[in-house]
Amino acid sequence: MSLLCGQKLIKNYYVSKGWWQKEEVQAVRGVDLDLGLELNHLSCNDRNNNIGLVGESGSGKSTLARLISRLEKPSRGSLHFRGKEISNLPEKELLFFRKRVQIIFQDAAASLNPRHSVEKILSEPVRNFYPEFSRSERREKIIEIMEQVGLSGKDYRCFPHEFSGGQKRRLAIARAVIVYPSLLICDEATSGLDVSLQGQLLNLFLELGEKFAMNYLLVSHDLPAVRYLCSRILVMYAGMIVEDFSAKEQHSPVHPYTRALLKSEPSLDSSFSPQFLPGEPPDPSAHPTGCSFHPRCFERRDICMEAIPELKETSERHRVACHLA
Amino acid sequence: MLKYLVKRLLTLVPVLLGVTFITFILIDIAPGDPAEIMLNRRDIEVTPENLERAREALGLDEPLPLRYINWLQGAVRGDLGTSFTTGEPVTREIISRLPATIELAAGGLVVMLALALPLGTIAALLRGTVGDHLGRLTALVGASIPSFYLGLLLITYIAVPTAWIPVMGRGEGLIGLVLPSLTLGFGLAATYARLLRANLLEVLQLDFIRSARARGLKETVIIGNHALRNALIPVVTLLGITMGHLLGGTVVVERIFAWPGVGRLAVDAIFNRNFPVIQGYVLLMGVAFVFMNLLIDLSYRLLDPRVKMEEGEG
Repeated sequence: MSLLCGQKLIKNYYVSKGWWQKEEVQAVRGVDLDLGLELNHLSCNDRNNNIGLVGESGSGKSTLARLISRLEKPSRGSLHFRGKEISNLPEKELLFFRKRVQIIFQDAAASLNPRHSVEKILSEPVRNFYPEFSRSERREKIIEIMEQVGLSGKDYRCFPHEFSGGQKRRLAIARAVIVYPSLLICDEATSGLDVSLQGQLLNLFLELGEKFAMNYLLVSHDLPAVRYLCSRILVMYAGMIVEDFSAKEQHSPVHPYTRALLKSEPSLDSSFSPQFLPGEPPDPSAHPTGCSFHPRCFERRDICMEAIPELKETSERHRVACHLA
Repeated sequence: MLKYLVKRLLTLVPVLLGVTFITFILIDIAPGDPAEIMLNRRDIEVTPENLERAREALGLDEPLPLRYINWLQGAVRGDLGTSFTTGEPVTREIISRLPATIELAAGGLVVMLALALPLGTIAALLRGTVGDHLGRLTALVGASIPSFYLGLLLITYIAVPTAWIPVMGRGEGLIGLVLPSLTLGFGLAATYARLLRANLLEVLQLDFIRSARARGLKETVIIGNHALRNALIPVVTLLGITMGHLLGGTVVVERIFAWPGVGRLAVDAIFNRNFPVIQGYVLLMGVAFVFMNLLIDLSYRLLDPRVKMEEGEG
């Protein structure tokens, strides 16, 4: 059974324009997504099932992450967790889901309550999901998890402001993995760090994924990080998934947007100069007709301006939403 | 911690010196001759000789700086002079009225917190609904209604019909405290409920609240454990100022309910040009404000662990 599977997920927001007028902003416009099988300890195969979700700012990737972590309800569409529909469940009945799917955010410092000590921060999820643990068991657990994410177990009495930025990220990760989730959604969790810290964090992700039999959904605009950690890459553009391909297999991406995205990636190779995509992503309150990408596409045909391309399977483990594919 | 306390207490000295000196000057330039007023109060004929004698007795024949120093010397020993009207020592007059004032201040605060904390929290949680609008309307009315009017309403519609709540004075036990506390607390609660609502809404937008939701915490835990504690800091700050005010006495409420507090003493003293009492009152206010703010600063440490850190470094 698939761990998490969304069908036709749509999320609209309403932005008020003056007193009476409201403008509809379509952030996610019909996403079909299957995050694949759940790992278990026996078949644990490190980066086999990690998924990267990439796209420009405003492409809707963070909104999609919030939808599939059920931080927000989708406007339409369904979301199944291990076969159970959860898109409309009230918060009270979501506990089983929360225990399995955790999310961490880019700004780790802001996601930690400044008034709580590390012990309190880390014991809260344990108390919430494993109420049977005694106080001393909890503390043992906390020290163990702190050491696993590379913090000193002795620091459990400290407060978040006493840690460095990288340590705060580790703390946020510890808080998420302490309940043994099956899926950890990282919303830009490695962004805004210097390269060596980022590398350390990615290695920590790999290590923890193996140890805890946990998959990642890495939401990021950082392609190298995604390629390092993930076997499958989803590319989002203007609220839709335009390509879903395997990062490890040899078939190269097909969608003009994905190709442009890869070409714009800087490299240390001096003979290579990155090519940038001209234009800007469309205004989410006024998407162009047909394929959202056609105004920026070099290969557009007439059909691209008329019909929205469907996300079709072109080969095994490769889906593309392009009329030319 | 001790070092910090001593440091804070030492700052009290310049504050009190400044406040009392300014009052001294203000009283000096205010119209009216204290000696003449005193003679009038005591029904002594105002003749140049009597005036001269009274001035000497009050020490008014000396230059202002010297008078201030004399007053200071007395104040350090706990002697704030004698009241013109009663002839009693000012210290004793103030101390005899202080318990009533503290009682009323505490009563008002209890009523205020009991109303403001739940109302502010509920309004924030129900943001945008009918309940929120109703709450805000009530708060607006509460903040706008003058306390003398509210006091009279309470007397007319609660004290008179029930007949077991005293309308005037402290009465026996704490029952006399009910109406003045309600009058005082209601007006304050409105402001505090709005402040708490605004702060809570702000805190509820923060990342750690979102991540608490994502971790599947119950809403009550999120509010109680994460949001309220962070939203209370500005409330506590304002509380320090309010408590200072309350300890200075609440003139209007004390007048309506014939409450024998410090505020009434001060107002009477101002009308009577009873300078020693005014001076003593100002001193009390200064001490009250400085101490209340010290108390508030100490309470930040309980609410916010980051404050501790800065002190440890400095």
